Amino acid sequence: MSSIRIFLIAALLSSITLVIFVASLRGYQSSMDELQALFDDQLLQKAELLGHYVRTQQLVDTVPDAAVVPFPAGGKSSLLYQVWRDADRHSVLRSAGVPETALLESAAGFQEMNFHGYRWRALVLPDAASGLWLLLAERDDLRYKIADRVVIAVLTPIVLGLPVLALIIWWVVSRGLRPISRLATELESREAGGLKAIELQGVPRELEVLANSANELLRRLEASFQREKRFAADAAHELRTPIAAIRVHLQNLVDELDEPGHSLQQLAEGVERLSHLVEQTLVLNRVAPDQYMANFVPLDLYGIAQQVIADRYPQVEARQQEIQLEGAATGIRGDRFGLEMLVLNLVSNAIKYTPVSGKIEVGVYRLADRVHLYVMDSGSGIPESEYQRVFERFYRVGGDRHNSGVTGCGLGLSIVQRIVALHGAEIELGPSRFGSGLKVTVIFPRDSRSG
Amino acid sequence: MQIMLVEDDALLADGIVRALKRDGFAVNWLSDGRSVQHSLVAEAPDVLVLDLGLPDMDGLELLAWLRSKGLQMPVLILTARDSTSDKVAGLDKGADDYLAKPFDIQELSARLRALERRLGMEKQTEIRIGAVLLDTAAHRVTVDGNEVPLSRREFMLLKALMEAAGSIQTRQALESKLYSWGEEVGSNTVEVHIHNLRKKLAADLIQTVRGIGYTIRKS
Repeated sequence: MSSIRIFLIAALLSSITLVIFVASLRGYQSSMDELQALFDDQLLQKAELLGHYVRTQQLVDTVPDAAVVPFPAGGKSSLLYQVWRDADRHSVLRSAGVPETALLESAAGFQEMNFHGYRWRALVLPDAASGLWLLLAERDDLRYKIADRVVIAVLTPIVLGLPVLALIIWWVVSRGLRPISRLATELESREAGGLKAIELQGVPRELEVLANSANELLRRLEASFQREKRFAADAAHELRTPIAAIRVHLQNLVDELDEPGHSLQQLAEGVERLSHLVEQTLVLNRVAPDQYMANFVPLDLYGIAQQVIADRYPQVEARQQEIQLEGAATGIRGDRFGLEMLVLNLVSNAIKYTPVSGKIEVGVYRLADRVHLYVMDSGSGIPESEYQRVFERFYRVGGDRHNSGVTGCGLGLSIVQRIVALHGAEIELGPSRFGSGLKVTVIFPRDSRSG
Repeated sequence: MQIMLVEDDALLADGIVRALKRDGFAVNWLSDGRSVQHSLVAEAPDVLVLDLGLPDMDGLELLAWLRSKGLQMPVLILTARDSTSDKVAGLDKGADDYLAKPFDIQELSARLRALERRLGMEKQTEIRIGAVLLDTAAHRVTVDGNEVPLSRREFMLLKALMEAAGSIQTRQALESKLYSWGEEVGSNTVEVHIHNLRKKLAADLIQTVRGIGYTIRKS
């Protein structure tokens, strides 16, 4: 993953370092040139001093060796001199360790020479008065040592300052990038809450384009959510009305015929299935996580169970089943539509998959501060190996036709699972206490208590 | 009883009209809000069956309009919308009953009978479940032709259960019915009267559904 911050810090720091070093190199060179001129100047003055000495000693080109008076000072190891006769290039004056023969050609000017394992800067001058040649030389490395010291003195604070510079750059870059992270946080919060536009006030000019595009995107997303919601509502209306019409006409037909035929019964069952599938699809769509704005309010789960069972009782009676509700009024924070659909689907499943004259028990209780809801039947149950698969959409145990002979659409438990997730609850499947059958338990989280 | 059906879907309306006529109701069908407003002023029906999704106006608007005109006939709402808030809004705006599409035509018929009884217009006043015959007009109950004397409250409870045979009446629902008839209701009033009814009639006529309420099976 690329990071603007790391790129900016690295690029700024390396280019600043590069510029500083190039500038220092240039500075080093020019100060070296300056120093060279200065030292050469000094060398010239010292040579003149040597010439002056030669003249005061009244040395001339023809002076015999014996007459040479040694130069008073033995000379430092960093400075050497030699004075020689033009004719035989034999020196009449020299510092200690310097040979008698002239070290260099008798040609006036500055030049470099090697001597005693060092590099020397030498000045050769003719002395007009005496006719002698003068040589004065200084060790080069001492000159460089001084130049190095100057450059190090200049560079040290810069090198030491680089980490400080890095910190400052880091801070500046981070500060400069802050509006981006603010924008990112703003956008992130849109996922959970609504899709309202980003406030443009305080957004820097460079990000305004981005924020504007994001706002445009959010607006279109919102519009498409609204469209989808409206579509679901319209679809509900558009599908339910013709289904209602078919059912009414079918009932009329049944009532008008003395003996309803086999096909008519099959037709009635088909319409029943279609109607059920449409209803379940609409509910599943309605409780879709990215669509559903759950409205959590304090509710009585026991009361909801009571109402749902009372509404479904005609089916229970038609199958001569025995149903009972255990527990007492239990407060919970939840979404009314969602909880009604939860209980309805669990109870409907129990009614469907429990044989004629079977038993169904529904219970609501609180255990360790958590609200439990269970629906238990005396049907054939589900093998443990199928516990996970039953939550898949359109999955039906044992294929399309359950061995109970009941037709369904296989969406019930998917709806249940979505509502369970919506409430942050857990769902458990297990064997029922009736000897055979299934027990479904939904355990709501601790903080779902009302009041 | 004269019923006005307001439904914009011709296919559904045709089926409902046919079924209700067979069940002995006189039905007049209209398909939009404006014609309802015109005809209601001329001649008001006994009961209005109103679909909420009309082409020219919202059903709830029409309901509010007719209540504002002082028309007090019972209104039963039909709707394809599924939100509970619509139901609440409908009942708030003065609807008397509510049925979601797709519904059972027999259920619609039963609800209309209940409204008819409330209006005191029913021709059929006897309800028979097995050997028990209840005459709502004469306030009389007989078992195999022998009259069983019942107190007023016992009669009311038995009538509520027999009218809704096959479905459950929760204890709260029975209590609020007694209360709405101006009776004093104690904490175990319903239990006591059910106990007495069982003694006076067959013991297994009224079933208890544990945790939910009471029911009388359709014979």
